[in-house]
Amino acid sequence: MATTEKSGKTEQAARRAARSVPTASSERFELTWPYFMYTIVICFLLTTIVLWVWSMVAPAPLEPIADPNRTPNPSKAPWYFVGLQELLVYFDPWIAGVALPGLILGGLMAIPYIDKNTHGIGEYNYKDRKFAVWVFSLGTVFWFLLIIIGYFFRGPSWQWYWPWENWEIHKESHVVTHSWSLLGGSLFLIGYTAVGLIIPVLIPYLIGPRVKPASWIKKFCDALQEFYEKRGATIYTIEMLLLLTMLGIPVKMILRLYFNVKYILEIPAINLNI
Amino acid sequence: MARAAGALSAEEHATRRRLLSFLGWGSFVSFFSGVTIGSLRFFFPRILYEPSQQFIAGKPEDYQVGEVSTRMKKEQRVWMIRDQMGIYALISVCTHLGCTPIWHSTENRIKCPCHGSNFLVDGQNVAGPAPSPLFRAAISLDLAGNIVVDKSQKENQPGKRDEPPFILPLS
Amino acid sequence: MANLSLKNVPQAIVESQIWKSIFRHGYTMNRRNRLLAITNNVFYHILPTKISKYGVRMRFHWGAGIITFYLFLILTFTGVLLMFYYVPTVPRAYYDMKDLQHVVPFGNILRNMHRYGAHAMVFMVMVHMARTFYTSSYKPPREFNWVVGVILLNFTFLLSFSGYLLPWDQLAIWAVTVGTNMARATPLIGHEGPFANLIGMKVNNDIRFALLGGTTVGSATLLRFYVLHCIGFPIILTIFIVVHFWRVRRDGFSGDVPVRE
Ligand code: HEM
Ligand code: FES
Repeated sequence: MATTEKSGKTEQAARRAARSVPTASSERFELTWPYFMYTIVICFLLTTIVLWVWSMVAPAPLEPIADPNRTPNPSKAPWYFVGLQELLVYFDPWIAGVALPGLILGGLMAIPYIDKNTHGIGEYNYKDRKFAVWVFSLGTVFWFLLIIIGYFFRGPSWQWYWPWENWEIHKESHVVTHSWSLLGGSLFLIGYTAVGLIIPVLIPYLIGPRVKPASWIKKFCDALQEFYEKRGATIYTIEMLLLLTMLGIPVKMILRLYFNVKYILEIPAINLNI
Repeated sequence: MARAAGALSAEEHATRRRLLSFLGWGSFVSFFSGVTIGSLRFFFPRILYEPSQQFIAGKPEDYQVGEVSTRMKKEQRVWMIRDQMGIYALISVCTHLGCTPIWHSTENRIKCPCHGSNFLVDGQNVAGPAPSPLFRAAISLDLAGNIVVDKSQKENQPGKRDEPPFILPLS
Repeated sequence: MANLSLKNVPQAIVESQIWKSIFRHGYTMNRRNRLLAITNNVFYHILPTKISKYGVRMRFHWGAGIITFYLFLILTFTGVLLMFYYVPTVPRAYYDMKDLQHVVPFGNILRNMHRYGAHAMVFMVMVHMARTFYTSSYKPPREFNWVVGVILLNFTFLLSFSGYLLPWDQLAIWAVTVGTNMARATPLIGHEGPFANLIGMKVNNDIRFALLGGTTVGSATLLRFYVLHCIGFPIILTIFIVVHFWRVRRDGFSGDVPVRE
């Protein structure tokens, strides 16, 4: 399962050789003029056609004039911010609106500096970078999932309406949310972080030596150990904290939607309500 | 070698040069930090052209006990609410992110269209993301017996919000 | 003068001194001229003269970066045209949009294209980011260009957000009310944010006040967003796009040189 650096490189080289177009020799290259120009012009033409037809058939929305005394019910942001709007339901504004977007943008910018894996440049390579591909895809899917929830599953008063439910029929709701105690909340958060951070490091040491060498558990332990050792303590911690933050969001969403939890941890004195 | 009188040693020279360099760069840096601060300050206007926060909301007799009146909401963004104690003006600005919530009489709740905050008639936040209760505006009677509401003065903490000037006591 | 027939006109034009002074190289089927067509043109010389057949396929690059850039050009063009009719004041903004919809010649399609183009650009910039992620294009030596890319992503959002207020309709005012109220929750510099009370932040001296030019979304806000949308953000975006393209050229297109061995 775990490919070593060297065999990975060799495999990659073999794959590249097998590809009909190897890297640097000049008959493998195409002149920009005119061949790449065709690509560009076709992209431009197709974009123009799509945009033009779209603009001809669908009038852009223009709602009634702005009125600060009346908010349309429901009031939805443009689609690319609906995910953010949905996040604002679960977290305080400074977390959902400032800290999390900051972490997303900062985390994106940090990707090249925390992903030290040099495999796969210039090719669609899943095999040698499973973790990276999984995390990125999970984040993207989750972001669009939030958008879909906000766009299709939220109705008047931002309540949950299934797409087949009529918004005209008013849905009554008498939900009352409550927060966890300071002790319970801090224990939960500390536990969550600790489990996420420490358990993956501990498993290979605790379980690894006790299982049969060829079993899948052993392979799993080895993979975890390699995962940690490749990264080193600092990058491992940064990566895991970012990952745990991302996975923590659906945890809070479930707690709110099914258990009416307002805050897991509530410290109003310093505005820290999670 | 003998030096001409008045000429500087290399060391002295260096000191003077360092001083001049310090002064040069110093004035450069301080000038441009001044410009930066000035440009930032530029974005904070000294004078605002915003509508007055005070308005007249009719007479106390216009409101029934137990009523959540929306007659001032269209123009002034407040509900006039009369209970056993008196009249208070609940500002209809969501304490979450500032949308205008809606009063639903069937559920006896105020709900916000933007992220679904729920409030009770007294302003208490009970569900959804709003971090604090709705605010009440200062309310009083003028000499002609009209209700005067002043939205620039507001309070949302239980206890304080139940005392004048945030409630107009009537028996 | 003898052979002044219509057939010879194109050739005469192409061989005239005027034409040749502008277009140095004709489209003759020869390799040298094709290389020169790229290097001698101010707009094309950002492109390499040759690209690997592997990387040039749509299947590799999805055309996403190209389309994003083209959408930015369309948005600039349609946006400048809209500016001829749109006045960013509270009494006029909304009715100017109505005019564009109903009375300005081709105003409606112009407005639709600007609006849908903005949505498409946001979408394509995400697609482009996904492509560069899946081909590992962010790895050395292209780390910095990925960072520039994230900055571009951010300014694409800001551009869309600032433009969203301009029609001054119900969608506009509430999106911007909610959006700017998040600014007031920023730690330290927003008056409702954590620790803001320690440095004396109030409703009329925090970051949101500067953004809105007041305490509520009003005429000052409309003007500020207009200036940012039409001048501030496009200029910043242009600067970063220039850097972005320059770095693609200098660091090499990842489809050209899959791995440095
Ligand atoms: C205004 C927005 C943007 C424009 C106009 C733009 C345009 C382009 C273009 C035309 C290319 C050439 C290759 C291609 O077309 O795929 C490119 C490459 C690249 N872009 Fe962008 N881009 C933008 C935003 C971004 C974003 C948001 C990211 C990532 C966070 C990004 C990361 C990159 C990287 C890493 C490359 C090098 C790709 C390679 O060498 O294969 N760009 N960009
Ligand atoms: S603004 Fe009212 S719930 Fe967010």
